[in-house]
Order: sequence, then structure tokens, then C-alpha cells
Amino acid sequence: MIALTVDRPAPARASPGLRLGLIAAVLVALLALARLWPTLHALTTAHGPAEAEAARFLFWELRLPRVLAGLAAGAAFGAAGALFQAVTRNPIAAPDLLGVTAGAQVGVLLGLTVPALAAVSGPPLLFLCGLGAAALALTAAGGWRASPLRLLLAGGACALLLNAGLTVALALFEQNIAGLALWSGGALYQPGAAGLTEAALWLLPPLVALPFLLRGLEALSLGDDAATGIGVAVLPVRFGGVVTATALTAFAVALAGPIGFVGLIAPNLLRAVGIRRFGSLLALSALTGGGLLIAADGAVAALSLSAGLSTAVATALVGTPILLVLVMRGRALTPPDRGEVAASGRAASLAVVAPALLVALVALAAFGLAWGETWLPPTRWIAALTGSDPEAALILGIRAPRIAVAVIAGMMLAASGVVLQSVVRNALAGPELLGVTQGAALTTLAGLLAWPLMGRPETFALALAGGLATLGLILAINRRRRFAPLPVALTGLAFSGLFAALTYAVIVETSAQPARALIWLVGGTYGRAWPDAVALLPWLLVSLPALAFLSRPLDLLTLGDDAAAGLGLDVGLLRALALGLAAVLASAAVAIVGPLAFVGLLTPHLARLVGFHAHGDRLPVAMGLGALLTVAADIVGRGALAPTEIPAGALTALIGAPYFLWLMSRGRKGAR
Amino acid sequence: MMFSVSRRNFLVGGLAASTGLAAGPARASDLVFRRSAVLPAPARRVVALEFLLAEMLAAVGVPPVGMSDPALYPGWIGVLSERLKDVADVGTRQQPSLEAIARLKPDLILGVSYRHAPLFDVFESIAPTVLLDFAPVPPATRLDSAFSLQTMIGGFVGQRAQAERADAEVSAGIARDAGRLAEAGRSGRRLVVLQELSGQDTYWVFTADSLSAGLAARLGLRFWPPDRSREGVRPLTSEDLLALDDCDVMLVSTTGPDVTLATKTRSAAWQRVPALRAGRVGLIERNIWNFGGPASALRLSNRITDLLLRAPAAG
Repeated sequence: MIALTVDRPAPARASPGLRLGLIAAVLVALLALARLWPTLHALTTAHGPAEAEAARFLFWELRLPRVLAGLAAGAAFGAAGALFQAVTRNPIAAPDLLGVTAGAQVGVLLGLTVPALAAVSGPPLLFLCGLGAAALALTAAGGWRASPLRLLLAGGACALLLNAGLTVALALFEQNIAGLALWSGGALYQPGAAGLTEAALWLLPPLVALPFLLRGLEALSLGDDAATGIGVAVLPVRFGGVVTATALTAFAVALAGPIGFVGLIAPNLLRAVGIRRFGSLLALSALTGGGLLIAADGAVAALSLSAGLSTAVATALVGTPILLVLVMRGRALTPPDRGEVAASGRAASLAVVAPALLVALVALAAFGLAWGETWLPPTRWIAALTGSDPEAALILGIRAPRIAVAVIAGMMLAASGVVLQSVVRNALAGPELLGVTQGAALTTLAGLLAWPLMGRPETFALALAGGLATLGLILAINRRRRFAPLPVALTGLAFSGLFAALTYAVIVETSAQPARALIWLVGGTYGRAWPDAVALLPWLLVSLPALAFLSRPLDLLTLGDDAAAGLGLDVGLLRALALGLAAVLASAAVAIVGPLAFVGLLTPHLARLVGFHAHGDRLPVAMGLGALLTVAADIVGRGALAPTEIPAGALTALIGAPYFLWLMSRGRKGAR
Repeated sequence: MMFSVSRRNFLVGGLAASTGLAAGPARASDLVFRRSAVLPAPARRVVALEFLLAEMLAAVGVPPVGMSDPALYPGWIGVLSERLKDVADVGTRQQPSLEAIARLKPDLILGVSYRHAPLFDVFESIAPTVLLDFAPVPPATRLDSAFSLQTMIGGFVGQRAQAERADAEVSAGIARDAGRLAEAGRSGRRLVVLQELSGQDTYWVFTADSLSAGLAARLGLRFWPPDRSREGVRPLTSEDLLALDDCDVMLVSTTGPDVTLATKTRSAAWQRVPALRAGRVGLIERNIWNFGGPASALRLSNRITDLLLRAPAAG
């Protein structure tokens, strides 16, 4: 338990964990030294008392705290990543699993807008808000009895919910965006050592708890039953792991900003080079995380090329290629996630639900045409059509295309999500996970910022090019392994992290005031006109037969690769085709409505919670739900605070996430 | 498709400009990003989708019929607010409500390129539209842009004479401030203007193309930093201030007056900043005058001058 890095009791030669640990420790020490060298040098060669005093200050109060903060935060992220991945048995769980970053972002905003909090603003406030967000997610997941899948889903839903709330606040009070965006790039600057010494105290509880959890967590990796078999109390260990990891994440986010990507990458790197034992994995993840973060920070400080190249961007730039190379070499050999589902005991009938969804959609659309700043009864619709009411015609001309775009885009994103979750067999899969959304968003946004007058066809072409190029890279990297689910997910995740960071860099690079770009990134139907709907429709129509054709083979795929192959299915081909379809659907939607959150990620689960499992049923239901949700978001976003517009991308999450959480908690009671 | 003219077209093909497609004032090509071919002359019902446009319309005596975020205007600009009390709300600056704009039946919509470029066609389906772009061409500053823009907007609403009067008043006001500084022997001092953001000791510093830089030149002050940036600001931390000897720092707050300068500068790094030690850091109340028009510039000039005169005499 104490021997964190020793693998065997009496090693004849150093174990791989120990050897690696030593190498990593030396590397990190060298990195830190390189970072501190100029100031250290100045300290020893200073002439005169004034110069020496200034050099001392620079070293002890500015440089050293920054390097130590980077090391500590990176190590905390790395350890938190390893912990969360062990607890959820999902290798793509990130330190941010329970929405700590979103909570901390709320903290940044609170610190700005509530003067009473000025005394605690800065890291303490961010720490508390991060913990608060995680507590919320943990409660929603079912408290200390939460299963891994519930943790993942509830965490994801809560993070989306908080982010959505934050987006609404920022859309209304956009002058706060600039500060928040700057913080999001990483906030390692320490204006003195005091903040660090204070924050170090928060690290104590998780560090004390860790040794007691090691054995239990090691056993958990074998599965709940096996762990119970050797006398490990599964629930307390899991709960302890979650709380510890959350505290570590909150510490790191408060100190360094939202750079949790480090914690996602570090354990996967180590697994890829063959580290298996949890104890070694944890210790080495901490070391690797710290090293990665100060390397990235050092690169940023040394190059000081531009404001856009922040620590967060550099981290993604450093970490992603390494991870990709490892995936390509086939070294990322984590145990496959069975892609178990948020099951509900019930089964529903498509013959009842599909017509109900259709009726609901038509009713909602009709309501959307009528409701808004001005109430437009159907009599005025007729007057508008006959040309006798130009004002009504103008307003309907604003409302109707938005609703049409919402219906089409909602269906496309939901279909994309269903297909991806089946192919990747991971509950967290969605167009966002594969990097397709981020790829499309990156190219589109870069295009829009470079050529503000860019027309619709160009936008479309750029989004498709970005999304499909991402997919092409993922497929190329995973071709040899026949597109096995886990490497595909890992590759996609690496790309999504990289592209999200690059998008952020592009925004900061082009403008100090990122309000406009950030609101585009939330996604929405604002200002969309008929040509947008017309541009989107063919992509949906063409994909419908393909979806119908793929639904049966996708059912077989859920039985497992071997079973599917035994039934005569070309698994590799099926995966490639399905991924391609999902990518086309998602990129086309992103081109028009931006990366709308929640729809692609959670509507597939929603369809399952309602009681549909086979793809032939689940696809249409998820698509109906996606359309319904997006239209509702469009209408509420336009009308609720009129004339103030709330981005639909924030509302899809604000409406969808609570419903999703409620369904989950109901399912839990039903199961017991 | 309606014919529209972009600023880039103007720059590439000067011919188009000289053949008189631009119905507005002569300097329009510097400031117009994209505009409808036909504009009303003069416009009477204008919708302004950015604070500084509303401020300028108020300054030339034709307040808009609708503007973005009127509730936030008094807190962030607060200049000429009394002339904008009754203006209709058309939503946020980034995503104004098209329905609210349409209902006002405007005859001119004024927006800005960096927010509304993708919305031009939608706006134009409601009313003639001009999207403005006031990034200054070196060596001009945003103060110069603000003056030209206000003159141009005065032209749109048929109030060029009033616009020129307002310009002259602001210029005279700034000159008075310069006189006060010269009298107290404060001319030639070096000015640094910061905008507070969230995050520990992290700020925007206004650069050489900013409105503050333009003011410094007119006030007879030197300005730091010497470099220009795309939007008049770049990030800066308290560490960067350590090396700046002998300058006056103006910190524009983002919080209410209940958070004092002492609270904002309690970090170890701030405590060593030469300007703070010399009592030369002034806190200016929350505003975005640096992104405003001439009236905002005058207000900023008054504040900077007051705070400079309050600082201890140079030793």
C-alpha cells in the first residue's frame, strides 16, 4: 500500500513501473530546472543589494510558485484522471467528469458580479464552486450508491446543465466573456507564493485518503463481483475514489484553470506503454501530468508568440500527438467497455410513440409560429399568405425557417448520436466525442473569422471538409485494427480535445473580445433563414435510407464483434460505413446550427430510457426527440426573454438535461 | 440579389468608389464594412446595435428608436444616458431580436462588422442597413475613428453640422484637460491604462491604437505600450508592471465601487509595482469608454486628468 511504484515484492531487476517512474521523475526535474534556470542564474549573478532583492523576489514569489503550481495542478489532474478512469472503468473518463470546470467557471463569473465575494474571489471561490458542482452531479447520479455508468451520464448531464446556465448568463452580460475566456486558456500565473501555500492545504485531505483507497481501487478494476469476492466493500471504495478525485480536480482547476485534458491523457499514455497496476498508474499519472503541464507552460512562456497560444492549447498540442502515435501503434490496450446502457425495464411500442411524437412536433411547431414578442393567431397566418398582412408575413418569415432548421438539425444530430454510440460502444459517445463536431466547428469558425462575408455554400463545404477530414484521420489511424471501439473512441477524443483547443486559439487570436465567436460555438437557430433549411434537408433525406439499411446490422453489432462476425457481418466495413454516415450527419448540422450541445449525446439515451432498444425503433424515436427538443429550445430561446435572445444550444441542455436526470432517477427507483 | 458594397471591394477597386456608388460622406470608405445600395436621406428611425452607435446618435441629436441592451448602457457607457431613456429594447448586441427590430419599422439599421457580418442579408430584408468597421489605419487611433464615425453618422441622419459642433466641444474639453495637466507640470508623464478582467492579476492593457492612446497624445502625455494590436487591447499581468518605472497607471474597474483599489492590488507582485509604491495607480469606475464615441472619450479624459492631478508630484 505504501510502495506506490514497486510491482513485485523482491524484484531481481527493476520493474517497468519503477524504471519508468525514475525516468519520468528525472525528466520532470530537468523540465522544472530548465524553466527556473534563467531566474536562478540571475539570482547568483546579481550585482548590488537592490538587484539581488529583485532577483530573489522574481525567483521565490513569481517563477518558483508558477512552476510548482504547474507541477501540483498537473499531478492532481493526472491522479484524478487515473482515479476516475478506475472508478468508472471507462478509460476516457476525464478529471472533469462531475462538472468541476463548469462549477469553477460559475465561480469566475460570481467573483466578477457579486462584490460581497471579493474577499474570497480567486482560487478559494473557484475551489468551492467546483466542489459544489460535483456534489450536485454526485447527488443526481444517486449519491454514494451511484454506478459507474450513472456517474458518467449524470456528470455529463450536470456539466452540460451548468455550462448552459453559464452561457445564458454570458449571452446576457457579454462583457464578462473576455475575462472568462482568458481564464479558460489556463491561469498558471501566480502573483506571489501566498496563493499556492494556501491552496496546498486543500490537497491534504485527498492525499491522506489516497493510500487507504489504493487496494480497493485496484480490486475494482477486476469488476464489482470479483472485488466483493476478495472482501472489498465496493460502494465505499468507489465513493471514496470519486470524492478524492473530485477534490484533486477542484484544486487543480482553481489553481491552474481548466486544463483537465492533461488528466485524460496521462493515464492513457501510461496504459499504452504497459503500466497496468493501479498503484503505479496513479503515481506515474501524477508525475506525467505535472511534467506535461510545466512543459506546455514553459513552451508558451518561452515562445510567447501570441495570446492565442495558451497553456491549454499547448497542452493539447503536446499531448494529443503522443496519444495518437500510441493508438496507431496499437499500444492502447485498455479493457473494452461493454457499453452497458442506462436500462429501463420497460419496453414501449413504436406504433404508439411515433405518432405521439409527430403530433407533439406539429403542435409545438404551430405554437412556435404563433408565440413570440407578437402573438400571431392562425387567422393572421392566412392573411400573411394572401399578402394582406405584411407585418405578419415578415414575422412568420423570421419564425418559420428557424423551426424548420431546428427540426432537421435536431433529427440529424440525434441520428448521428445513436449510430456513434452503437459503433463506439461507449455511453459518452456523441458527435462531440469523435471530434467530428469540433473539426467541423474549427474549420467553419476559422473560415468565418477570416472571410466574414463567406456565403452559405462555402460555410457548408468548410464544415463538411472539417468533419470528414477528422473522420478520415480517425479511420486511417484505426484501419489496421478494424475500427475497434476503444481505439476509435480514444482517437476521436484526442482530436476533439485538440480541435477544441485550436478553436479557442483561433478565437483569441482573431479577437480580444470573443463574445461573438463563443456565442456561435454554443450553436443555435438565431437568424437562420429558408436557404439554410433548404441546404440542410437533402443531407437528411439522403441519409434516411442509409440509416434504415444499417439499423439491423447495428443491432447485431451490439451482440459483440465475434457474434456479429459469426452471423456473416463484415464488422470492419460496417463500422467504417456507420462512422462515415454519423460524421456526414453531424458535420452538415454543425455547418448550419453550430455545435448544439446535448442533442447528439443524450437523446439516444433518452430513447432507451423511454423503452426502445433495437435500432429500427430507437433511431426514429431518438430523431423525433431530437427534433422536439431542438424546436422547443428554438421557441423558448426566442420568446422567453424577448427581445433578448437565448442561444438554442444553451436551451437544449437547459431543457433536456433536467428531464434526463429525472428519467434516470425514476429508472433507479423502478429497478429496485 | 441586392447590390451591396464591401469595404474590401473599395480598397481593391478604387474605381468603384470614385464612380460615386458611395452615397454617404467622402470618408465613408474607411469606416463602412458593408451597406445597402440605397439609404434614406436623412434617416429618421434608426436602430443602433452597439453602444457607441447609440451614443453617437444621441450626441448628434437624433436618438435611435431602438437599441441593444439599453438597460446595460447606463452602467457601462453612462454618457448622454438621459437622451436614451425611452429607446426601445431590441435584445442583445450579439443576437438582436429580428422581430423587435421589424416591429419598430426602422428606416436604417446600424450594426458593426465584428458582430453582425453574417446577419447583413437578414437585416437588409427588414430595412436598409450599414455595418461599420472602425479599426483605425496606422498611425490613427480609435479616438480618430470615433470622431470620423460620429461625423458620418451625423450625415446619415442629416445632422452633420450638429456632429461637427459636438466634435468641437469634445476637442475643446480634452484641450482644457491638457491645459490643466500642463499647468500642474504633469505633461510628458507616461500613461498606462488597464482594464480589469477576472482571473488573478490579469488585465487588458490598452495599446497604441486604442482610444486611450489617442487621448494621451492630445493630453500631452506619453503612452505605454508602444505596440498596436488588432482591437486596441492585449493581455498583461502584474508581473509586466514590475519593470515599468516612472509611469501613471489607470486601472478601469469591472466591479462596483465597493471593491477598493487596495483589495484589487493585495498580491505580492502588485505590492512591488513601482507605480503602486509611488501612489500613482488610479482606479476608474466601471466603464467601457475606451470602446465608446467622442462623448465617452471626453469623460475618460476628465477622469484620467483628475486622477493624475491627485497623484503626488514627480520626485
